[in-house]
Amino acid sequence: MYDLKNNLVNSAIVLLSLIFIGMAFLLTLVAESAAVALLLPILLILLAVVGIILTFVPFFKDHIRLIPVVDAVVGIIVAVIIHFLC
Amino acid sequence: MNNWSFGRKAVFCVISSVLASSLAGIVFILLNSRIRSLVVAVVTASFICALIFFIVSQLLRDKDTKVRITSQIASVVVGFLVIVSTVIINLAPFIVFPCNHNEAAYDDLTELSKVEDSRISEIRIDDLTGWRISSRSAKPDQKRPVIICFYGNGMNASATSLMIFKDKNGIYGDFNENTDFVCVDYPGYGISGGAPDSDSVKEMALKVYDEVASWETTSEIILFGYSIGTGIATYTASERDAAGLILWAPYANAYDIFNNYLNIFYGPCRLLVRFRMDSDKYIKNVDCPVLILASDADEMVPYQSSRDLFAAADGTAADFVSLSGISHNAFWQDTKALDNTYEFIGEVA
Repeated sequence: MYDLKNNLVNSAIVLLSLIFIGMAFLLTLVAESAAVALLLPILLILLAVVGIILTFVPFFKDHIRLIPVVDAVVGIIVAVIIHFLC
Repeated sequence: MNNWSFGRKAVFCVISSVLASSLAGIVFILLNSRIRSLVVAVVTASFICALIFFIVSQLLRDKDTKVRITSQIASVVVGFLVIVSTVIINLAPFIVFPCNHNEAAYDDLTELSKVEDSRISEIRIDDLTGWRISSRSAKPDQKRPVIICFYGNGMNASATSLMIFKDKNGIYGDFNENTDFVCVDYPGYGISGGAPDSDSVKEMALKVYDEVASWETTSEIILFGYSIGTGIATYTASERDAAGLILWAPYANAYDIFNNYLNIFYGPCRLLVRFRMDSDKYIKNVDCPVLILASDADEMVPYQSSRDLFAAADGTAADFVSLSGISHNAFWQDTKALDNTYEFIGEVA
């Protein structure tokens, strides 16, 4: 049972990583500006740092599951802004 | 979760940022209608690879850690290669044939074609559409040469024909002084039906040639290709009789264009290129005079690729004109390119 849960979590991480790689590669190829080409790697670093900082914020200490939601909202907003700017 | 160590929290944050940035990428691509369908392809391929990873992990759960880890790493590497291949295979058609249409130019030409004694007429061959600009000097029923134009992938028949017909800068007159100029949209371009790929554009080119050859006023046919159209023009010249073949910024084969974009298409990676256009093979079967114009500053088609095509022609009745400092899109405005082309048309027509 432990193996099954572990393998499911690992497969989910692999799935996410592959989608990330695919999107990053795709954006690099279609990008007409550096902002688009580097959108995903920069977001990845930025959101990871923001997430780690949020773990020290009292509210998020108790609601750590909200960090992915905050990250996702920030990411989507940045994507929409970049789309209309570039 | 409060009891998580800092390391565990950091890993959680990194994974959540991978999720968030992937979502951002998906949203960004969904906002770009041209390549929207690629999201489905990438997500589906990722899901299949993750499923394979899960199955491998489950099957090897009782095996030695070394074997399990090695197999998992191998399936991740294969997954990575599958994703990269999926992106390349699905993205390439959008880059090679971005299906261009200029509605304003189409409407302008439609109006111009309705004028009495108009030199413009619309051509319809099955579900293909294009334009014919009749010669200025020839009488309507007089026999004259016809130039068939195969344009670049960012162009379309309506805009190209209108540019030649209006000739605002007075530089395109010789394209239809003594010759007719014909330009038909590739499948998927303009209002032509179908989808563009290497087979459909070749089939379209032969249909256009056969249609033009069937006209009573056609004395001979000169094939003219620019950029992506050079492969199509060369193929047509290898399959049909032409009076001459003019190639602006030609490539020896499609791999050269792909390698200019992303330099990985060698050996087995060539299997990822579905657009096959081997001009260097076709040109060996061309027996009409050939004029090749290439620029050392061409950022789309490598100069060396044009030289390779010239070498493949074995120099037989082929002439190579080197342009200096001309970018890919500047061919249409370059006096040297146009003068050499008109001189060649004068010689073969």
